[in-house]
Amino acid sequence: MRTALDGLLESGAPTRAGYGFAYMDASAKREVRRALLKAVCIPGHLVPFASREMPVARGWGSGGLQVTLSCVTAQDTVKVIDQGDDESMNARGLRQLIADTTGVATTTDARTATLIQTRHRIPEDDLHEGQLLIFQVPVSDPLRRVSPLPSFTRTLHAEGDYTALWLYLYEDHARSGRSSFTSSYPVQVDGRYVMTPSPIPRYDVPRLDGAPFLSLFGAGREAAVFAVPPYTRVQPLAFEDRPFEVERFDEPCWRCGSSRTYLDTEFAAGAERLVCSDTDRCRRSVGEGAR
Amino acid sequence: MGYITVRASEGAVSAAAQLTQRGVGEGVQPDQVREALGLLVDQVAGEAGVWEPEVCARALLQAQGDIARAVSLVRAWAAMLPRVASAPAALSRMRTVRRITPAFREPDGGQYLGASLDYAQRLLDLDEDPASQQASPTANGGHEVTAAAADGSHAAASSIPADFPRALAGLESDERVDPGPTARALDRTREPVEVGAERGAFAQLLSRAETGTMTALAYTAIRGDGDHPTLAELRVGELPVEIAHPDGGMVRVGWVPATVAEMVLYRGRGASGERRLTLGIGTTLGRLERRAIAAALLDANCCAPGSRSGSPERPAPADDEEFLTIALDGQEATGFLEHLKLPHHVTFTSTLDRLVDNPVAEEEL
Repeated sequence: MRTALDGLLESGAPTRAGYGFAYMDASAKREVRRALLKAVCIPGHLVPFASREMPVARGWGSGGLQVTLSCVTAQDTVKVIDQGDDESMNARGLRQLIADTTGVATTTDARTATLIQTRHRIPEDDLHEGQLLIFQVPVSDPLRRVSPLPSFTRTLHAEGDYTALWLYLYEDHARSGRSSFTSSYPVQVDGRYVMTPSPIPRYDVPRLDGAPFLSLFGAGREAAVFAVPPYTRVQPLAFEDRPFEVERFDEPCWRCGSSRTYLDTEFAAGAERLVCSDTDRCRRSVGEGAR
Repeated sequence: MGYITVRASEGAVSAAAQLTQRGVGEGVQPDQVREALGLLVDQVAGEAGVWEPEVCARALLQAQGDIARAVSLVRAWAAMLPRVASAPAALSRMRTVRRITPAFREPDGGQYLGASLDYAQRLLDLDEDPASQQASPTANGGHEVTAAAADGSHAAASSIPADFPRALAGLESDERVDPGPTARALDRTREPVEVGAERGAFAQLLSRAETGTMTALAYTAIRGDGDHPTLAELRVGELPVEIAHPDGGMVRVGWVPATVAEMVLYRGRGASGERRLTLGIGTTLGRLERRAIAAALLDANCCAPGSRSGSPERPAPADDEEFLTIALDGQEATGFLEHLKLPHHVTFTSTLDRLVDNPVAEEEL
């Protein structure tokens, strides 16, 4: 944190005419950081902020981008993924924008990145202390399932009243024998706030529990941020006799052979096959196998 | 090749953008857009909440006329500019070019038709001489409009008094109109705002709302149950922007084109037998009367007693500030709708997993 803070205080040099370092103006960044500090202090709690219009459309990562641009320092190495893929169009566009307006180094290797902006995945590599994982969030409130009214769900959060969500889960099991949550599986953070882990697959949810890295979540359209500090308990909502289930795959990745990673479904020539969603890790595995 | 996710090979983003540009808008300058398509530029300025018509015209060109994208460009550009001052502008000091009062036959200050196509017939002119294709705002109706400026000429417009009272002033003074909570000037783009907490924030939301969405929602409010609001006053003109000079005193730094509508609503079946009219105010940058009227109507509906009476039943969409707050911003709506074009195969795989029977392994139980 020391070096990160130093980096934030000495602002980097602007790299694009008409805009400051990291695109956003200093007061906008400060506001996002203040909201983030509060979010880190109250794990899982939704903190409102005045979300700025960004040069990407609402719903395309504008929240994650504001968090990234508010936190990035000139010394950072940035990785951006969408669905685990560094070369997905939007990931590439966001990475380019970050690099263009900061001049920071970029990488596809999750192990050496200091700041990772992600949509829908946690990289397969074990992340370590000091790394910053920034999630793009489309729907920030896990209670949206039970009420569309923020004024109502805010009260439920404040009172720690998650009855409706438990009931929802119970009804799922009563009706179909299993939870209907696919991605965005609700989790309880540090035994208090119930939070959406953003639409990461269920496979990634246990990987947030006690994780050594700092997770920041940015919802631009909904103007909220939230956070999971390092080494914080993150438990998916589940009943004792109805445990939480992650996605299962019957076959390994056809490309690298991994059976310990989250796989995407590909449809090739009419046939279905499974392949790693983390493209960089998969490519490295193939390379290591070939050597 | 089989299934290929949309991934960026070298230069694909810029190549795709270039493909859309072929033969489009070559040689067209922003000032030509302003001149020929003034109301379109006004709409971008209104929905962006930024009066900078040169920038808005430029954005329209770069967006090939896609209003949502143009608004996105302008808002993102403006989002990083500092807010220097907040300057309230009195409606009475508007440099008015048009003023009508459908609720009052002869209001103080008079009615002025100004430039308007409202009463012109909608006959598509197929004459190929562009000079004669200029729309001619001749009034063939307008019986309720006083003769002062009924020809819509600029000369007549200049005869409008510099300062005259609001049409509702009389009804307000004897409390037949409930003005509702005072709207504090508040910028929701710079301060987080809770729904229902600040009328000023809601007014700003309405002022920047997506035109079509707002029109549709306002329409739902008047076609149904008989609570027909009345447009008390509509003013089009320019508002003075005055800020405090560091050496003291106020300095006018410019004029901003704006449209202001004032709507009154009587809820005959509202709670507690109300005997007062509810006032709704709608404003927009530019000469965009439909926007101002729709905003005023929704403001009145949300302020009216009984609109949110605290019952667990959900109010109608047009009465529901919370619903409107979710639906009205065009950038939020278009952005999220179009995000569906982004890849979703990770989450979709997670969904597919729920379609198959995949019992929990014994050892995990």
